[in-house]
Amino acid sequence: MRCSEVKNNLVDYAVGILKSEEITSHIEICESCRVEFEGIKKIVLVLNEYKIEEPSEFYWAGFLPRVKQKIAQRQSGTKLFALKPAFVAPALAILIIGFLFGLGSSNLFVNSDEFYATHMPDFGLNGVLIDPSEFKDVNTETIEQAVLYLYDKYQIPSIGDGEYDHMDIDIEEVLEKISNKF
Amino acid sequence: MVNKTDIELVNDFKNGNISAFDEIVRRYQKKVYLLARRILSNHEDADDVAQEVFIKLFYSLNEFKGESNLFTWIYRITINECNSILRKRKIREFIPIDEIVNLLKFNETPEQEFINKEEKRLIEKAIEKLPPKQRAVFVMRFFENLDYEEISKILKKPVGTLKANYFHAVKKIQRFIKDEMQ
Repeated sequence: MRCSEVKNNLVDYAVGILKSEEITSHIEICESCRVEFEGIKKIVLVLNEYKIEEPSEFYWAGFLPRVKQKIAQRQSGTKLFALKPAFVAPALAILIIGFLFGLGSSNLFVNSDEFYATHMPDFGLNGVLIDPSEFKDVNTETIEQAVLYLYDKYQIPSIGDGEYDHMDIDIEEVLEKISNKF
Repeated sequence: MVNKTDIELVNDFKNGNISAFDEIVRRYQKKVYLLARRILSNHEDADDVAQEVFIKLFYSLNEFKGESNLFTWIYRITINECNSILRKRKIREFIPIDEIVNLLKFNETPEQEFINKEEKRLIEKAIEKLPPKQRAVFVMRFFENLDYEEISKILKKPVGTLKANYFHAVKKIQRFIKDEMQ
């Protein structure tokens, strides 16, 4: 066995996961490799003491929801810039203003499972939706302004994490702004 | 769901069952985090990487053809994300190295716990000095106990190259610690 080959296996040998009579014999007769081996043995002892403090169970409990929220945020970011009529099916007749986790339905906040089903089946997301059918005369630019206003003021879609709760959203104010074209 | 194989979960996901993704995250979250944590040496970066890995996985899982293990694929994404962080961010400096060395020289003092932390920081410092590829090989081999065949699939490098990388990585760590302690 050549020295280079021995050295390439020396760490595994020092750690103990590699048993090799060839290396054992080589080390006995080759001083250079023996010195190398003694040095590596010492550093392996030091490295074996290196332990990482793992995050708490609390961290792990929140990990998946955080991943899903980020996925939702990226999806909503896409939607924000996809509000032009060409991208929104006319039959849908709803304006998407954000994705949120865990929102129940109400008069103002409508479950959107059906819509999201086309994008993220069974992902369990709810959205904040406004039905703009009553704003037939409202142009796309105004709707986009409304969306940006909501994103900016209420930090949608991170509303659950911020200082606002989804119930804080003053929909009447937004509707008035839409009517007045801001 | 927990009893399903990786490939079954991937197929479930492709068929629209998003909860299969949840199970994949739960199955690999700690492995991904720990790999990133050991490569990047701090929680914040490891947390960012771990989340990003699963977000990327979510968007790319439909393209997974099963030609390699899901595990290999996830680790490859993790290594790429770590390398991206290493390129973009300057890893924050820990306490001055002289202070660590001084503490190590008196490692029989009663403040053993504190000293162990400093020893840990010295090791992290040594690992941080490794070039990204050597660092990845070292962490996967030494701490994750992956065999060379697996690492070869993840990094797409021949086993011989990996063995040499591993040996040189350990030698550099050894040299760094020795130099700092003199």
